[in-house]
Amino acid sequence: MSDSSVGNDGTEMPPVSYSYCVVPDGTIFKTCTGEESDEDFVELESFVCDTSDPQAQYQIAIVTSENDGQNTPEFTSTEPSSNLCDSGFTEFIVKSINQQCIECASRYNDQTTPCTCSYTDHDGFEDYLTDIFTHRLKIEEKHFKPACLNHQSEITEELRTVLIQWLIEIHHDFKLYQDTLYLAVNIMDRVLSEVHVARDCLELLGITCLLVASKQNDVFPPEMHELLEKCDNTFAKDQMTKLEMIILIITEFNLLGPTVQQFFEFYATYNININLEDGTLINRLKMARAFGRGLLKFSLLEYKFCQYRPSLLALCIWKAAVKCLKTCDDNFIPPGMLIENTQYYQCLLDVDQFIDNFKHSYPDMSAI
Amino acid sequence: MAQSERGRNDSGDHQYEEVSLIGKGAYGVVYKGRDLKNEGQYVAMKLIRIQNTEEGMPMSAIREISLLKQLEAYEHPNIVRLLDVRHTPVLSGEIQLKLVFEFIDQDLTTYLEKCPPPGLGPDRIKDLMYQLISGVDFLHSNRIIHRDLKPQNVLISSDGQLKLADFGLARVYGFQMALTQVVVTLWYRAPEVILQAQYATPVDMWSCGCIFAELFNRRPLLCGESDIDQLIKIFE
Repeated sequence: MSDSSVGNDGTEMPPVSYSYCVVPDGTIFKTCTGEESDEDFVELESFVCDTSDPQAQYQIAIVTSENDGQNTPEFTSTEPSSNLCDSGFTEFIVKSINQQCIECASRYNDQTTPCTCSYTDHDGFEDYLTDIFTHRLKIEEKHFKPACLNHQSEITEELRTVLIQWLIEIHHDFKLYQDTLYLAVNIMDRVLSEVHVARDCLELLGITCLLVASKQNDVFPPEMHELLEKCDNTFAKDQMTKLEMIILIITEFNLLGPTVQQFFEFYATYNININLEDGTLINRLKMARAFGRGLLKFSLLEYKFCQYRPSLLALCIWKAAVKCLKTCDDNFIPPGMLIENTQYYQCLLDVDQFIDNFKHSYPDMSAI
Repeated sequence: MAQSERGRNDSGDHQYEEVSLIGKGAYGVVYKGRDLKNEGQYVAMKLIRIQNTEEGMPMSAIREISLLKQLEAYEHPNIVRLLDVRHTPVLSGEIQLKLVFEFIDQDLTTYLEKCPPPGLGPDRIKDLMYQLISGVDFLHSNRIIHRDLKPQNVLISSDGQLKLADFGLARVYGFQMALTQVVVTLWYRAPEVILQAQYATPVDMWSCGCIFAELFNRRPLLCGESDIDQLIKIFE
């Protein structure tokens, strides 16, 4: 496994040409871009063949072939790297979170988001509302990977946070479908729980997951070169194509995991639908929904939140939003959902604390 | 996991043998083939070539596979089974993706063509429609719109079992969803799609209705030549 450090401790060993290597049991398949591509396929093949072997260990890493004194690609090119280590880092995150939260909450509130389509999750499909929810609950387990960073030696919670922060920006820039973001993070977490990812690959992994999610969800997904530009062209298109394939293989094309947002929308719509006669309550509930949607997005950044099942986390966020807006949902319990009490209260507590932190650093939050 | 298990056991792709060409789809070629590991059982293979110069894996392939994978567990009798997904290198810089489906003898078009006059009896039509609708209902309750229902995509097995196929255009609907307007083959396209209005699950029901009529008439109900012509035919 020691070989992998060649690509990882970037500062000393800058790459000239590199390629993705999947490494079972520490053996590195070294390939350079531009060499016989047959070899690359062998890698992919051998990788697929071994996915079913739980003993094998895999890595996604960039392997450097030579030194020539160039700079190694920085992890997140849009952030100055100093933000990662100095004490200003947390501040930076909190600050940008707040700005975004206000921005997105107000966007949801005035309902002017340009959108050629149905605004809520279930428009036009009301007949199937509960069916869909039950279906999502059923398949949730398969797509849920808590503790996805447990086997990662180079990826920390902070790195994940910074990466997702960056993905949120890109997602916003390309005006992608909301759920694409949640799906991308879900795919990424699943990949992280399966294979070892080198630090300098994380950025490419994140953006490729966004691409895959976008191909799944959006009418016009961004083109590869546009996404690569966002990484300051640190990576080659060829690498992205290969990583895409690897992602698809690791996830076995199971890309339709239910997301926190889908559950949240169900809870909100359900509550709004049963209270349709009560005008004032409806308004409060809609505000709770808008507030909750804002919270949802920032819950992505917190590693501890991906320890909870999406359906549970969404429920806690809904409850917290309802509480914050001093409205009431009649102790709503989603139909057919089993809730384990200890986990539920722990999650509620975490969400409350999360909101408190927000209010602390940005008192105007309560105005939303 | 079953799939990777199978994949591990043979290094090259010698498991499936091509027999004959069935047709050309929107993004690939479909062959009839044999599964040599399973007593030469017939399969349908859809081959998709992915070139490195393109945008990676085509959207339609990603959607079709992920949808079918999600539905697999239910083993619904009216949805075509996806048996295997393979990818093999062909030329440098090109990957071939092979989707292996169960093989079904014919589609609804051929079935109707072969059917001797005076056509299908009411009981047969009732049975086919029931199967068609339960397939569609199953999709809708799993939040999927097929969006391309037409006799060519409806398969009939030799024992009269109806199966929906070709999910290249299907998609999962959800929150704040933008949908393309160019879906569904013209003759089976619902007016809201032609008029570029909002659409949802009813587009599939419209197509079902068109197919229903076709079962009786043994020819398509509304054969418009253009968008406008199709609309005029609908309102006639």
